[in-house]
Amino acid sequence: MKATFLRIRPLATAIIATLFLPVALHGQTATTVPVGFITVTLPAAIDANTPSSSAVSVPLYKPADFAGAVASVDSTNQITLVGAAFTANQFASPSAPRLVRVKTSATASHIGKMFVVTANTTNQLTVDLTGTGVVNVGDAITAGATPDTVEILPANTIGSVFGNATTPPTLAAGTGANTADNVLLWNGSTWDAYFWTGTATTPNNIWKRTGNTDRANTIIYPDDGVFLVRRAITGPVSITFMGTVPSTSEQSGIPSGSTFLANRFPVNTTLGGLGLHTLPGWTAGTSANNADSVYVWNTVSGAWDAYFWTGTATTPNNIWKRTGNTDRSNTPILAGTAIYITHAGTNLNLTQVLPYTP
Amino acid sequence: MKTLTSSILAFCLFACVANGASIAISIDTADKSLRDEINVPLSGGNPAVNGDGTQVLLGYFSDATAGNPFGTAGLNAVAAFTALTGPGTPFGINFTIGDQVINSPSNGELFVDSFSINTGINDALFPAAGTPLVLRFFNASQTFLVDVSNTSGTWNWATPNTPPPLRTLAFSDVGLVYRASGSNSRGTVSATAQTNIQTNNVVPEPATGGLLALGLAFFAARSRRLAA
Repeated sequence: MKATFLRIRPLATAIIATLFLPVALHGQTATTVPVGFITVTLPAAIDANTPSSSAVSVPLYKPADFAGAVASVDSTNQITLVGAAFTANQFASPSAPRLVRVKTSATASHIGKMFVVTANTTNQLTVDLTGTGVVNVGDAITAGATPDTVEILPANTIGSVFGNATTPPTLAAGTGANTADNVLLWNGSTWDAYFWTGTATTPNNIWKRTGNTDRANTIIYPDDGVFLVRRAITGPVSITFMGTVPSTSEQSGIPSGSTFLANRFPVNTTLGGLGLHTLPGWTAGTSANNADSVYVWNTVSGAWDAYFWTGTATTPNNIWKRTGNTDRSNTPILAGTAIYITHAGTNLNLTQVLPYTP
Repeated sequence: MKTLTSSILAFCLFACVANGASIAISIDTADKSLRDEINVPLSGGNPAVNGDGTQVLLGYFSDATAGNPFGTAGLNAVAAFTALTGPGTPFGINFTIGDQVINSPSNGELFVDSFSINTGINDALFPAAGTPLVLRFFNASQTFLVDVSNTSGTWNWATPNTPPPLRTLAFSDVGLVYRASGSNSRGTVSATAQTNIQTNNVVPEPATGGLLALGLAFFAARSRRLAA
């Protein structure tokens, strides 16, 4: 297979437009938010029957609508914010989904926790706990004498990231998933394939999965990877993601089963640097068949490389292994890429500290 | 939400948690309306309920080839059909016309966003890599069926892996072919929107039509001679 590559501009280049934005529109906190971009280049398909694929992440946020302190936790899924003066349900539109994210907290494990907003009053948010691993929002967000601060920000969606009728996608349109370029999202057990119908297909200019419903507002969660399949033989094409650079540590859920996990920061890291093997509950083993495993997309072979942690009971011990006995801890996990994880056992939570100074 | 996904998830609770390989499949009848032998859209049952429409099976023919997804023995190969989904299959996956996850399809439509067939359950049932997959639709009494597949390769089975390969079986695909029981018809489904899979209205092949016309002409001439 023809070599594929994913070109990522390093952070130093990406954050070329460091701007000072008034994040707190309602007068709570004045913060500076570095804004940048990251470009991924998708190679053309080898031929009509051999698409190219890329494991991609979108490690940038949209500018926040609001930032402020938490006044109270009101129920298992409701919080009230200080200084808020919202319009009812302004953050609950399906066409413009919003996330609430913990920016600062006296409890380190709270920082980076994130929920989808499902309703709001003038100062209270109702959030969706589904799939977060949190059963009570108070376990992730606290008020009190030293309250957590949160921000409300537009969620990245397929339409906002990859294009829409106003700004047509760079990805190739088509009449079906087998002819168009695909955006694949992992739903926890399988892939959901989306494609742009373009102008020549009815219904036109929608992001389609099945049926004729426009899926443009499907959320790409910050910890979710995106698998892009390019079927067009013309190219390569570049896609630029723009947004604010993460400025705090990040939390990523790794439930039992399979996860397609984004590299949360717009900088390169390594397999060992992710720290997955240090998580209590991460299963070591003698092979990828009996250990928790990390699959890294190999852009040269066009296939997944499987890695597992040997732990203390396997020789050689305490290495990231693929084949042979070489420690693969330094395997690069590039900015703007994603990894596929299989994990058996209890749900895990990966905390990644900020790897740069914003 | 009562969804196909939830029922599938319930079935594959064990398999999905395990690290076994799998293949991901989605199905989209797109703008086609699947109809029975008397041109009535196949029933989707109660729109709010999954699994109560007319039966759909996903499977393959063991003697299929890339150019002939229905096998080399024509309709006699029906017995060679191996179902991967449906009642009684070990993977515990079942879907019917009218099933949906988000939007509600009409009668004659089927949208299955995606499901997984996992290894480690009955791998002996898997076809060889490259075997075209076949969707089999029944009428309400299950006395009439239609097989639909694709000769372009996009519906071909892929070896289960981790992460899973994805196969999208869309009726908008180029290369769609079908066959109906009760006739030896085989043809290509038109790409025109709302085109039925008109198994009952298949246009006779030219040779058949010619014979029919010849027969009618013979009887007409014979009638005229008798009348004279």
